[in-house]
Amino acid sequence: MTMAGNPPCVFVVDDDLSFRRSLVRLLASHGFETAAFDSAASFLKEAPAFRAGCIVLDVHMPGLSGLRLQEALAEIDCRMPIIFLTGHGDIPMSVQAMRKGAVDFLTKPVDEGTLLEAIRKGLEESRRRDEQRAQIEDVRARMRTLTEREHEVMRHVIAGKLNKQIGGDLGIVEKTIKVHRARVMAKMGVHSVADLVRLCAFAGVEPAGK
Amino acid sequence: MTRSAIRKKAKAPAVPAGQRRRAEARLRERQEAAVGSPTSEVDVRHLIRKLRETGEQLRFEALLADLSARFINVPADQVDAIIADAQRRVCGRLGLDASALWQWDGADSKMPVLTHHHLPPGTPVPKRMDASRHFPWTLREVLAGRSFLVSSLDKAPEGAESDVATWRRLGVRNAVAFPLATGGVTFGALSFHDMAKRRRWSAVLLGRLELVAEVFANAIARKRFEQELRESEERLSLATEAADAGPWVLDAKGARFWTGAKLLELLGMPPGDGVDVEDYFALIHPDDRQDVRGVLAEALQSRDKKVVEYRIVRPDGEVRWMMSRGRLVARGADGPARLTGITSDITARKQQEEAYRANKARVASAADMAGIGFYEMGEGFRLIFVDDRARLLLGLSPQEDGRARDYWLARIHPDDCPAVLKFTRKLHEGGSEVESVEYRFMHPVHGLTWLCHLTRVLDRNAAGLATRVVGAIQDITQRKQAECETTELRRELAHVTRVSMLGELAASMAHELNQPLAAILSNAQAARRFLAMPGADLDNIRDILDDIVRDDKRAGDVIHRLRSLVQKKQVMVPDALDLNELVHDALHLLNSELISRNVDLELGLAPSLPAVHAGRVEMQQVLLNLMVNAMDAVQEKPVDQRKIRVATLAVKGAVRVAVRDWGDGILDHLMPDIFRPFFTTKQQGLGMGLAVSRSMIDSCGGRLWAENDPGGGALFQFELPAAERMQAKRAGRRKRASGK
Repeated sequence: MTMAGNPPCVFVVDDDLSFRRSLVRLLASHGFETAAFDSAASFLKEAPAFRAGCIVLDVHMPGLSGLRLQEALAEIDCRMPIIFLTGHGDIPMSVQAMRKGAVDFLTKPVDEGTLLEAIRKGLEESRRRDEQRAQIEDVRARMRTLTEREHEVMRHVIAGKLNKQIGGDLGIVEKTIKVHRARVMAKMGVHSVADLVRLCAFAGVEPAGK
Repeated sequence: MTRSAIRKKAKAPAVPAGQRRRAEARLRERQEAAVGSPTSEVDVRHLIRKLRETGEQLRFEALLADLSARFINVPADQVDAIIADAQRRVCGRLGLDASALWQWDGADSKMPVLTHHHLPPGTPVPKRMDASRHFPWTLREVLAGRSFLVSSLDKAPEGAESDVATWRRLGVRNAVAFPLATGGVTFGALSFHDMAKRRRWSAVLLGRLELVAEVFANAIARKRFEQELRESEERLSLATEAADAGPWVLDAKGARFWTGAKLLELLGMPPGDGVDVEDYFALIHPDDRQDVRGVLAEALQSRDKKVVEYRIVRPDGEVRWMMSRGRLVARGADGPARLTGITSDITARKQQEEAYRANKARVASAADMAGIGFYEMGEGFRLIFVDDRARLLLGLSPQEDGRARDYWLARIHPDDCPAVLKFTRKLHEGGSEVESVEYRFMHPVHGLTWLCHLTRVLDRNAAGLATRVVGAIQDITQRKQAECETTELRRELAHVTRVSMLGELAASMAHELNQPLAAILSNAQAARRFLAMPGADLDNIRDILDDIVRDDKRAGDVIHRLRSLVQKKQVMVPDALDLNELVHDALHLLNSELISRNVDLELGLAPSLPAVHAGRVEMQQVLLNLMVNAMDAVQEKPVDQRKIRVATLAVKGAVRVAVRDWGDGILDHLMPDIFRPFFTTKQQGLGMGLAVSRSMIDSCGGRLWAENDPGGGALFQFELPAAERMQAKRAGRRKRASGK
């Protein structure tokens, strides 16, 4: 499965067969693509292959619970939005889930509108995350075209240093710094230092000297 | 000894008047013969013969007189010796070879005893003979009061063949016999015989022998009389000894008082002392003295027997109960009357009476305290006796006595009727001698009361049916009410414990209920959307509806299980239960809890178990309680170690359920306390779970206990007796069908 070309999917994870079936039916009636799993473990096994979509997850399940699955998915960097469902939600549990990035924490039996709203939000989030991920990927691709020296200079630039300071730090003449800087700006496709700083922050590049 | 002496002898008191007159007449003839009548012809030979006869006569008379005198003068116990001597002397005097004296006791004349005999040496002596066989004729004659003479065995009369044969065998040639009688009763016979020679029997000789027989009869009669007297005296003395009774005599004026040694002994006085009437009254307990004087005065006035009971105070201070009875007896026709009587010590009897009275009083007061009424019934449930309290308890008026049983049965609570009828049947038709039953009774005045009935069978007839029955009835309404209250409290407690436990499980229960409800909602919403689509897939809709129905039922089941546990029931209804089924039921309720607590459950259920007889809700509560405790015990363990196990197995005559956890186990010093009420190790526990569980298992005849498993963790087990030879379901159906 690849990022592009796949319709978003709603993954239903619940140990209760009857509820699972009913939820799949309801979502299907709303035209969602669905996939159902009877346990957290079986979902976790296949999760790395999934990209677009959101998870409707039961909190109480034998074996791996919903909350544990959330943690496990984070560990493998599967960042699909999660909508939790529970027979009875207590506040500490929902706080924990939300803090770890859950989209919503809903109580069974769940209202159709509320659930759909949450799923739409989840899919939107998913889409947004996908786009973001695509952008980061783009920035990183551009960064990969920089030479080591250019990368070094860039980190100094986004730290707000002047060419002269950079030259002093790196032991290179100011003129050469100027050339590297122009190449970086070109390769990264930016016209101002401000744009470069934003891209670097987006791609998680740390300014030098910190 | 003179003739007058003989005459005197003939007047011996024991000889009846008729016999005496006959004897006197004969004696007169002989005297006339002896003295001789005036005759004109004097024949010397005749005179000589006469003189010789007279000499013989005189010698015989002298012998007879001597014998008579000796018989009169000797003590009764020496009579026998004199008779033997007399026989010898009479035979010697009259030239007879043998004499035998037979006697028998009372009516037993068939086996006379040869008490005295004079026989030539060497003659075999038959001690006892069957007279009816050997001397039938003799016996008949003698018993009829007739004397007889068989002068020669050849001339024996018809019918005497057996007697003759016996005589021949004994070697006698003739026989003369006289009955020995007194008061018209023949008690023996005296016979004389010749063995060596024949004899001409003169009337004179026969007369003499008859006289001898009479003397003997009188002597023996006197001996027998004295013997009887002595025996009766001995008996009397034995009786007085046995009765601890001392005889006394008081003259009619109440002045002279004669007491025997025995009375003195009874009074605690030394044997030598004399006691006059006033001394005696001084000994009588002051409280009783007046009574005794009154009775004594009455006794001296009438000829009726008087009895009085009183206490005496012995010189040593000991108080004894005495009973005196006496009667005024006239001495002779006009002699002064005197009061004769006996006094006996009745202390033992009085003590017994007192003990009996005290015992009776105790029983009565116990019956009073316990409110027990008594009754007695005879054959066919006929009421023989019923006391006032039993009447009150039953509301039974005397008019109802005739139909008491119907009255009683009609007022027994219908629910208790079968038990009561079984109770009466068991008693009346056999099978049990003592039975008790408790039942509700509709009292005509007090309304519904509880009665306890204890009944004992005293007699049964040949058919084994009770013919006499005594019973006790007690009103146990208060006790029953208290019991009901206790039961009610216990039930309340069990309910509270159950509800509080369910409260702890509320979240899981809600989840269990939410699953089907959530599924139903989603399915319904989906169906609505599918239906709104063009060309709706009806098969799909039907599937959805099927799911909805199933989930609705599932939710209903959860609610039903919960409700049965939350409900406050009136009484525990024992049912035939399959414990495996019950474990599954409990797991349905705990499923969510196990999941949310991440507890792993291991099940080890025996494939087939006998049913047990217990309350469903109660056993459910016990199972839930043990399983929740087990879950609590592993709560703090790492997730992969949170494990509990529930197992069932059939043991001998019982079914066992074991609930084990893999927690830390029970601390040894807490082990004795864990079943105590209000004992808990939990933050928010009531501390009643195990206490209530144990009491519920107990009340079903089972037991619940705890131990630490050698492999770690606690092991709680309970056992319930198996309902015999019953399959759980069949038994359950039968029970319901019987309408219990």
